Amino acid sequence: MVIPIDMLDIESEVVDGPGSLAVLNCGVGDMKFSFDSAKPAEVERAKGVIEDMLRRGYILMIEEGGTWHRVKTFDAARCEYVILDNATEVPAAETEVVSTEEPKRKRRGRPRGVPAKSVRAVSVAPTSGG
Amino acid sequence: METEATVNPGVTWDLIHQCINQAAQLRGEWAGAPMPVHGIPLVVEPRYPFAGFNGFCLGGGADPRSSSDESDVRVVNSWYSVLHSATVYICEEPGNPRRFHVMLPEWGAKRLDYWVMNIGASQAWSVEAEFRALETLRGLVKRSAWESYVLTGSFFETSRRSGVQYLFRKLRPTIAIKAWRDRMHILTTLCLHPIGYYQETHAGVMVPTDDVMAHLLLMRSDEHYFWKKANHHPSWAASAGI
Repeated sequence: MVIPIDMLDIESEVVDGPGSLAVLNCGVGDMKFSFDSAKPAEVERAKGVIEDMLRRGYILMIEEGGTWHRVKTFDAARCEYVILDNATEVPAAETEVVSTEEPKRKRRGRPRGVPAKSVRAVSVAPTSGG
Repeated sequence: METEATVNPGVTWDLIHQCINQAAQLRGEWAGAPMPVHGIPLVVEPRYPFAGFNGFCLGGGADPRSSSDESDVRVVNSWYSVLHSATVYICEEPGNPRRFHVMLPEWGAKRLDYWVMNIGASQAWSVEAEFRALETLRGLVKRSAWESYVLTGSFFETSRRSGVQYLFRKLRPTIAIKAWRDRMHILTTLCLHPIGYYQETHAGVMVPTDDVMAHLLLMRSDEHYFWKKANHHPSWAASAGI
């Protein structure tokens, strides 16, 4: 699906609050757009944009509570970014009691939905080494 | 007052920028399209729709930095010599039974070469795009880091996960540093560009501050992926930009 970029209301000013999405662009500089969750048309348009970016292999990153997460997928029905919670590993050296049980495996992050309207996001095109 | 440009504007860099931006917009490509420049071939991420630009440069022909001799010299092996501060290449060519070696120093002219080619690649960027990127970066880092970047072209940030300190630099690979036994050690330098970059330069197809932002946000959000995708240059190499 091709979404003509000129059909979008691209903000010319810096928009960095919740519900905003900035795209690093090599032609015109960064493109930033936001959507009002109270306007269904804007929400639908934002969904299309986010799904299109993920389909094209763009890397989406969101900031939630001062922590940045990489977006794995997008739940269009709920308009939520799906991220993996950063799990922590329990190093064996920290355990004082010698246990006969099998050592704990590293826990993978659990997927969690984050409402798109509540976070700011930045999108980066597929990267290559340099 | 009429100038030569207004009488006969011809093809300008602004016009080329506009045409390429329009082509990207028509294809619905959010990040734009890479801008070819004269004499410096592009290296484009194969997954990107404009991967056809890979190896292309304006003016065509051979890379002016390469030898004009079209020989079939093949590099058999190479390594870095600490003694000579140079990379040693063992080469062979058809018809010559004896192999020979070439030593290319990693200091001096080779580092200057990167500087000069970066300036050549800057034709692809616009000052306006760089200013927009600066404003975006301003909202992503602390005031002290922002001021450091504006004044020196670099700033530090420590990863909360790994404790590795990163020195993010404009137009240079990011340096990963770790404290060990009361000293700071360079782990590696990480080179990565969204979409692509210009061959044998530190310049990406995006403005320099966009590259810095890509490094910064990837480090913050998925440090493992950042290390996996980036090219690692040893600190002694000219490509590391140290």
